[in-house]
Amino acid sequence: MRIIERVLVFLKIDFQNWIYTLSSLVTICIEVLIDNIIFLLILLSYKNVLSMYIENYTNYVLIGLLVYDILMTIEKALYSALQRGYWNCIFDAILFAPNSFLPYVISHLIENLLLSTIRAIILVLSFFLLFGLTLKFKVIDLVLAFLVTILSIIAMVGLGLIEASTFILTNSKRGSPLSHLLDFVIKILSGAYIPLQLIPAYIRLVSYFLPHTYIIELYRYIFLGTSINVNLFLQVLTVQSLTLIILGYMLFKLALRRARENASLLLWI
Amino acid sequence: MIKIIRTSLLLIRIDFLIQRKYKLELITSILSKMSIYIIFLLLAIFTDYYTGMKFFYSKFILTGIVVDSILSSALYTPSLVFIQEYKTGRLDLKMILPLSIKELIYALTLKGMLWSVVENSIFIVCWFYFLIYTLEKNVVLSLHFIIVTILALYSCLELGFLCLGITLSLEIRGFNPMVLLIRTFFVIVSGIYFPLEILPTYLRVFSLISPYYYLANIIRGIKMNVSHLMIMIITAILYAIIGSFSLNTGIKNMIRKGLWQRWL
Amino acid sequence: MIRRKVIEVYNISKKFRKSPKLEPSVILGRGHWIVALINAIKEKNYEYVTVLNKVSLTAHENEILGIVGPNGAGKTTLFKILSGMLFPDEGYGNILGLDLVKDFQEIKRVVNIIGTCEWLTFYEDLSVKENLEFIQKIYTFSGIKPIRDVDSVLEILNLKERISEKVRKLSSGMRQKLALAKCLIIYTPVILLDEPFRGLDILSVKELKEIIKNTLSKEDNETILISSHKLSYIEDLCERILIMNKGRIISSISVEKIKEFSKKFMVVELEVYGIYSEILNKLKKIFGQSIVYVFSFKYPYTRIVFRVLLARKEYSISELLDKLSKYNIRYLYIEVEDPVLEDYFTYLIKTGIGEEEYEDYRESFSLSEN
Repeated sequence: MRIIERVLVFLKIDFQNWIYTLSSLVTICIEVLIDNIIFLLILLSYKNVLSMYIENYTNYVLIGLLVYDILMTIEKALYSALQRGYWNCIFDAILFAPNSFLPYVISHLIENLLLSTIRAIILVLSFFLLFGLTLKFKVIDLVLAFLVTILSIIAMVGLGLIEASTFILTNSKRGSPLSHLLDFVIKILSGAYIPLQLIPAYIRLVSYFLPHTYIIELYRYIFLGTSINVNLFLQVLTVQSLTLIILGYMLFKLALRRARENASLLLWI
Repeated sequence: MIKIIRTSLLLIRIDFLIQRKYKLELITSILSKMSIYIIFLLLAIFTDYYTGMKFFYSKFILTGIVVDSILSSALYTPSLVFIQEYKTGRLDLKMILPLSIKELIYALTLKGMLWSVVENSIFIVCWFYFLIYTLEKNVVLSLHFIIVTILALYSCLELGFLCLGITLSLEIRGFNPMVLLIRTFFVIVSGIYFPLEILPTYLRVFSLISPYYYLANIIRGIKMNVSHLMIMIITAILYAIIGSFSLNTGIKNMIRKGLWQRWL
Repeated sequence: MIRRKVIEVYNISKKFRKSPKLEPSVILGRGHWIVALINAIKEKNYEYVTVLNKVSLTAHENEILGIVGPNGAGKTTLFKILSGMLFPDEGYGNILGLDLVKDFQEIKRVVNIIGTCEWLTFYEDLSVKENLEFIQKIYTFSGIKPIRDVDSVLEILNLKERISEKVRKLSSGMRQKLALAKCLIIYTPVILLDEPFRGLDILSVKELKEIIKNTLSKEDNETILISSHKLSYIEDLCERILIMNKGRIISSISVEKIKEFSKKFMVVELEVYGIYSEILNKLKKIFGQSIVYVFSFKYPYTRIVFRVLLARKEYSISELLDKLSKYNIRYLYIEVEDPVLEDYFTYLIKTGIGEEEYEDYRESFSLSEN
């Protein structure tokens, strides 16, 4: 109960002014839309080629961009929370209070999940209005969608914990090399921007190790009716999610212990 | 001028001293920033491969990427470096040193641009390749190439100063969407990533005020006529005037309100 | 010897906008621009707070001038204006002939300012030496040659063994001392020290005072303005002290006079139970000609704190306690200490000197006998 109370205190601080939250959300959505406009206009020029490989490629790509954006938001949340807390000397105050570090971590995860949900809704509406995104799904698919959502949150939180632990373990205070490298690989090989069918088979092997690939393909199956082996994808995703969350938890716990040993979360004190 | 250059070189040296521990972070962050360009290039390569067009789309996209990376860094740098200095709290120290605020901003911008050269080194090399290729074809064209590059860079820098001036005046202590909007607008209307023909006619007119358009054309070997050159020079002067005015107003507001000091 | 005026400031005023409800936050989110736009549109409707109200002062060559006042008096804002970091809204001033507004860029060449959290502006990932070399080089580029090298400066500050240490690893006191290094490395005719003793222990305060007095003032012949919220930190450094509160300079005191006063008098502070008039009469009988006044009431007319200005060595503590018990005065505590600024003002008023000044002082500090 006490942890819940403390989590609520941190959440209250971040949400206390709804105008900040709303203006940040609006700004981020504008950024995402503007970033994707150029990409989508480029795709228009490759219309002939892409439509040979993908039916209704606009929706195909839009779903990929949408899911990719939300997944990266959840994945990056914890590392950026640590960075923010460290460089703004917030930890110098928190760590001297008689609390564990856990409420701060949990509050940021919850905050990002809430913001991601709102962001997803705004992006779906914008893609629908601006780019003509159309979704078709059955009610039973919504159950699958719910399951995929839970698994993707677990996977992204696990990956986020691993990235966040590098903040302390490898002293990566100005950006995590692991995060940047994963960013690079995921952007190119997850199938969000470049359809997997276009990637040569020997490079596509790497994609099969990324949970993002399965998540994006599953959402495309749910909302566009593409043909994939749903059971296989679900099984692989489940294994990957569980592995990542366990690994992430262990690494983060190790990182916190290391932080207590050498005060690496304090900037000045 | 010498003072600005010496100051920016000193600031770079300081950055190197700080970043010496963070080499891996630096390299991987450059990789991460380049990923979107690599996506554009890969799409073009696949399209060439599947359509049998011999590097047509690839060359087209590559010129677009070179133009985008060089000019966008000039556009973003003034605001980016200033806000970075502010957020790290080191702007206070620099404001009380015997540098005028303008000299400080120019030194920080120059430092940022030199860092951009490192980050975009691959694309700078491509630019040199295009220059040598043009030189071999036609010496006059290569002269145009250099002049257009300088004018385009200068125009983008002045637009960057315009955005910075607005940031200072309105006290936007973070991301200023104006930079993003200007860059996106120019990228769309310049036809650097896709042919202009896919845009409606009323938008195509705006390509004439975009430095991206001229640089992309000259790299693609399209000769510039005198009228286009004149328009480019006039727009560069216009951007210089509004950029200068905005920056001076921003600096005066900054000193009048005194709200950009973080710790002092 | 006539010393020329180095700083002349007349009727400087400054107002700041009160924090609007929507204050853009550095920490939260990327939506600053929306909040900043809303604030810019609504700017005329915002309230303003007067931080400086017609402040005038002069400082002479090689003078050490102290500015004392509580937190929020406007000391830092005044220093920012004098250093060219901020424009005044009204008034004018000049430093060595350079106008505060027109020549705000050139003023940085003649004024050096050390802020309260100056050390936060150092590069925490660089060593002490690297940070000081950076400052040295920037001044060199502007044509101001350093007068000392990094090693001698660190020796003066007693930080030589920390030369290769990262700034982040220094204690807060050492970082505060390091901030002063900027004044020692280069020469500027005017130095503004904003609460330089904050966070320092007694020994470090003493060290720093020696450096300010001997190195900066005597050796380098610099005009120094020091601000503090505690008189005791600066009264033995300064020739003159200005008292500031709520954006105004209340009074100017010569330190000589305060020192003379402190030598002559001591203060006995006691908290007593009883009726005010009765106790006052008894104390006057005990202390005779000495000045007795009420410092504060804790519960109206039942617990009162009195301060008595006594000539030094007039009484011993045991004599004092005997007298108090003889007159049946029930006290909660009794303390003997050196006089503070309040005591000096009380002395002035009771002896008929500076009544107006005293009224200003009491009014501005909201002291009253009720």
